[in-house]
Amino acid sequence: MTIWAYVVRRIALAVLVLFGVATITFLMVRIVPSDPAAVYVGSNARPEQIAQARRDLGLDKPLYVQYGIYMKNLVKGDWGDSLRTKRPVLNDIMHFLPTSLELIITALVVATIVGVIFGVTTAHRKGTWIDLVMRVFSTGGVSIPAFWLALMLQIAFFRVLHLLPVAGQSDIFVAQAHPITAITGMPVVDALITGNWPAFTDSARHLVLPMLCLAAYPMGVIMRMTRSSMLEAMGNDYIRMARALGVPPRTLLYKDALKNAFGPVLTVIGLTFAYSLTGTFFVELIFAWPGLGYYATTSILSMDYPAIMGVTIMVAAAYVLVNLAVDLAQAFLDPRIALS
Amino acid sequence: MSAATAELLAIHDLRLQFRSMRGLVKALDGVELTVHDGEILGLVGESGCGKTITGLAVLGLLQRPQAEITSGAILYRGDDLLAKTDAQMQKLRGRDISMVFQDPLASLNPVFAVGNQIEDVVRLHKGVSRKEARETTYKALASVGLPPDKDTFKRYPHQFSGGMRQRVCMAMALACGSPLLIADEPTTALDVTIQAQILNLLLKLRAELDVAQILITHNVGVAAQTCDRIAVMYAGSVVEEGPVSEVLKRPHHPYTIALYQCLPHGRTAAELQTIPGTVPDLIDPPTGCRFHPRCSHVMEICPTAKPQPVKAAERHWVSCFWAAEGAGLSAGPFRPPTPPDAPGTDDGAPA
Amino acid sequence: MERWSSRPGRVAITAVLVVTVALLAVVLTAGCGSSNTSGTAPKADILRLAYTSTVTTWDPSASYSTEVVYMANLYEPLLYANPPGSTEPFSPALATSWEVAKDGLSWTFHLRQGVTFHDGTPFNADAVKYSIDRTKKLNLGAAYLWAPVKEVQVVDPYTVKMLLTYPVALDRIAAASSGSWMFSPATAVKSSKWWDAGHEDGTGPWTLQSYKPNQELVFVRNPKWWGTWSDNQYQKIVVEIVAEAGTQQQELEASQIDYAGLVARDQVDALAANPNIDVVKGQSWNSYLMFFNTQHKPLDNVKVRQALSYAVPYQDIITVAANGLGTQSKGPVPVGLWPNTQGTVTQYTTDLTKAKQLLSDAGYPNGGFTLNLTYAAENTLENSFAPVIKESFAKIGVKVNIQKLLWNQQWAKAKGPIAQRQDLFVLLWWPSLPDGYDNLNSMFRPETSPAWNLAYWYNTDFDKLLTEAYGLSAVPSGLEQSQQKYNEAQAMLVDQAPAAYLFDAQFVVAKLKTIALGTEAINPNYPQVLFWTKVTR
Repeated sequence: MTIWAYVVRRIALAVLVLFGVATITFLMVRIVPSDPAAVYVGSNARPEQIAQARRDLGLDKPLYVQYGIYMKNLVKGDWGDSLRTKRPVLNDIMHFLPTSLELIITALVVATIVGVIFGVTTAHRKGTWIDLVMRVFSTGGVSIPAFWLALMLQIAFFRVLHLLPVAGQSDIFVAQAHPITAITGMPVVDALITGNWPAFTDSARHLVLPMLCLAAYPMGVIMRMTRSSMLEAMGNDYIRMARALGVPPRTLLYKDALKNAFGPVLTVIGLTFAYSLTGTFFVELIFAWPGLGYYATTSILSMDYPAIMGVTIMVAAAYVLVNLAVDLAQAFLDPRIALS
Repeated sequence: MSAATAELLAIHDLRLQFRSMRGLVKALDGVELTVHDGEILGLVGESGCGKTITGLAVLGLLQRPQAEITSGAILYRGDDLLAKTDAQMQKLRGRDISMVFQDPLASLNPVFAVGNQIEDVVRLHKGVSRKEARETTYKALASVGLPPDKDTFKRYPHQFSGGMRQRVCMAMALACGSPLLIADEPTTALDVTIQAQILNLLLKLRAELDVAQILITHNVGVAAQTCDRIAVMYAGSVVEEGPVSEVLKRPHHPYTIALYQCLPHGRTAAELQTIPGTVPDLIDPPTGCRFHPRCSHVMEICPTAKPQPVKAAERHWVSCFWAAEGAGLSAGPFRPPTPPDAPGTDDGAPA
Repeated sequence: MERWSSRPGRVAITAVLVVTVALLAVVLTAGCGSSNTSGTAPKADILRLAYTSTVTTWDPSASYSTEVVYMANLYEPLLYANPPGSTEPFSPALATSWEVAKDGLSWTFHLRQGVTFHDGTPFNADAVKYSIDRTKKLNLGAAYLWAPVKEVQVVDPYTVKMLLTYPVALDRIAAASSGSWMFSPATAVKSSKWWDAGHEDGTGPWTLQSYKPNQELVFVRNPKWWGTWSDNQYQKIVVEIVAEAGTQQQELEASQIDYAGLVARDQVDALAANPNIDVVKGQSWNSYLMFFNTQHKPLDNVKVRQALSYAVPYQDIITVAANGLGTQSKGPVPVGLWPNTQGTVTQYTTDLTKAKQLLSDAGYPNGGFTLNLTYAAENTLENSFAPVIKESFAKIGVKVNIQKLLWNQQWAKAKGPIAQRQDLFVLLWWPSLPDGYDNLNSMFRPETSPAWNLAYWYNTDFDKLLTEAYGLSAVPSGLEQSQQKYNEAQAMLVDQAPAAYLFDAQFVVAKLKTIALGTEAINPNYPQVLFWTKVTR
């Protein structure tokens, strides 16, 4: 099977999965007792206003009719309007997603680099104090609750060391003096592209703490997986063979063994990406990071069902795509894996 | 067969022990070996006798601190390898001494194309451009009898047959022009027909590239077919060493004699003999001659002292009190010893 | 090693590592300096505020939610309701004077001249008519407040007359915190999408410069504002949306913001101890109450409701949940807000003996029944005091099952099938206009289907009394009599106890000492609003 046939088949499958996700989410958000019309008109609304909104939004129709309308629109690319913000859900998501992605991607890049380097080092130095220290570190990353870690990071870097800002995405004074031109929606990237150095430094500094907070868990998981996978790879004959031919230890580790060990690590990176998509919600809330997290949280709290649906479908789509990317990357890494 | 000239590798009194959960394993007990330029030396013995460990020790590939060389010297062109740093050894491996192993599939990295694996080693040792390295790679492929083309270059190990994989391993090992190759059971994992091809390749490599080889094998027949000289190891020591024809036709050591009798010299399987007894536990090895508990010619002196090599013939050395005595008694041509009359010679061990 | 540099894996890892380290180095070293070297705009001109309030709509006709904190600075009503304790109940805003006919059915407003909207359109009687007509027509948000207005007449360019179908205190409606905004008739061609993309067109002292949803709003002075600007007022207002109280607090302590709109009540003392920070507390029209489901047994028995009202631990609730920042309610209208009874109505005290006696009288000598209590999960105060109520009720033998629900679910359940409704409904209420009539009308009038009367207590005497009281309040001469009727109505609510009136909450905000809040910067008639013109350096 060619790679394209494979990709097309996987995407077709993904569409089915998303259809299922959309259906289940629709049922779940609509079955819980809540009145979307009341959400739409806001607090302190009069009963007649709610009734009006119910008619306007088509909420008086039977649920299966509403479902049909929703799915039909969804296929056409209309994700509905948020009950709360009154804007199209897709616009809202596209507005908030880049900021979240900036956080998630940097966190995952850092988690991967640190996790892999630590994983390789601990596998290489198994049983030494370095191994012990780094494993304590990874266990910490996996098991420390995000809110506590956030607090500790804030105390350490902000209160004690006065190195980094406590929250937010930019300093108000810097942002007012050096406004960032939005291109990608990711402030650090946009500042970099436009050569806006004061804003770049400022937004990069604001990124560090939430990024570290979000990176902790994936870092720990990636490190553990790298370590065990590396230990397995290092016991292979081809490593002995490469050693017998004078390949230096670092190349042995980072090229010969790591490429073999990277398959499971990739899977874990894919999984943690999905985790981070929702894990970021909480981090964003604590660090006042204006991404999808705050939007999702407020949508859930107000039972804004089109927004909840939109976020869920978006996260599911990202999950499916990342998994596809992981599978393709694995086939690329290891020629023995056949795509099927 | 070209006559041996200068000493390429000499191992003197190599003693090595492993730390294990149960205690110290006295794995090598004063190994003596020499390999000359362009010579194929067969290192034979049962599994666990220290053949592979000797090979790994030469390359400095043993895990420290678990493995510890307690005494001895490994001289490569007169340089003591044991005195070299890790970095020096690393440069030497693959350029001066290379090694290939039993399972060629496991020995090749499954996720890199074989051409790239060879090319990497070339670039590592020769510091040449990618283009030059590629040419060298093609030459190396050709030298082991593989088609030197892009198709071979781009294939992955799992896309080759077993014999071809072993050829790839050898190409990789010899691409940088190593004058010495240690081949650890290179044919054991292969079909019999393929075995012969690989052994012929070893001979061809010696003929064309003048590569000296240490062929580690448990199969005396393989050694007989390929080697110039043979060294028989038992429980961490070389017990007999000499030209193949000499050692196999006129074995002196009871262990060699026993090994020789295990060979299927056109006999049926039913007639095959095995050596009675088991390989000794090297945590607590037998005193004196380590073979004495299994030896059918054990003498009083055997458990008390380690026999030193004595010259049995020109370039033929044996470490055995019984053989030395026999050789001393009869100055005439070697009389094949009578086969042991009964198994379980342990009974005869002196108190 | 350089021979190996062509190995792609190594290169990538090394490159990323180098970039990361370099980035971190830049970021960390730039840390200390950047706050001193930033920018050309004079910092002293920017007021930095941390709010939790997001914008649900920018449409001034539809706005009826958290965005009021911005609307009140962008738009102006005809008149402002003054904070309690002022000599006059109202101040002129876009109307300079107004009068009501004796029958209370016609109100005349004389408008301020020389006012323009942010788009340059002049403010006049047509604009007033347009604004009110549009709001009524859209019938969203607080539009219902204008329901009594039959017609808005343009008398002359600067005079409007409003004709009512029944007498009401229209001055209170015109001063409401939602639905009362005057906006430019030039926006008539705009759709609701245009508004919600982040547009405004008021007459207020501030204009919206930029809007990033859930993130940041920037406002600048309206140079054509009819009021006067002084030098110590700010040029620019930057609002940062920060949802967490803890984060706002940290930012304030770091002087990254000047004002925190959300303060965790348990952090008040810690903040007050900071020498750079002022904690500002004061009266608000927020009050907590707990509805008894008068359609469920045994709460249909007034004696049971009274008993439970005596069993509510009022002081404990205030201490535990509000950290002392509140007072026990005197009826359903907060103290200070018209028409609170000003002490004539009795309060229930926490008296378990009396509670037991009343239960016994009602036929439940040792309690022995179980009640389901619902509260809104989003509300941290309710989260803390719901268990306090449960504990106290247990002492008189009444078991309480607490159900923590999202507000929308709590409300949906209350409006659902009768048998599935809660027994006890905890609610935070604030009026939509400076008139406690809103509390009485919304929460206790008979309803055909439940909306806010979540006690399901339908009393025609109360209904009649309330209508009379409200009508009387329309004209100044009727206020005294109106208050009497209101007192009677509220006495009925206390006696019949369709709800337990828990406490009137205070607001708490915190600010740096470097900024000063004028006396009218915070006004309980405009909940959550900070009037930025009243903030000075």
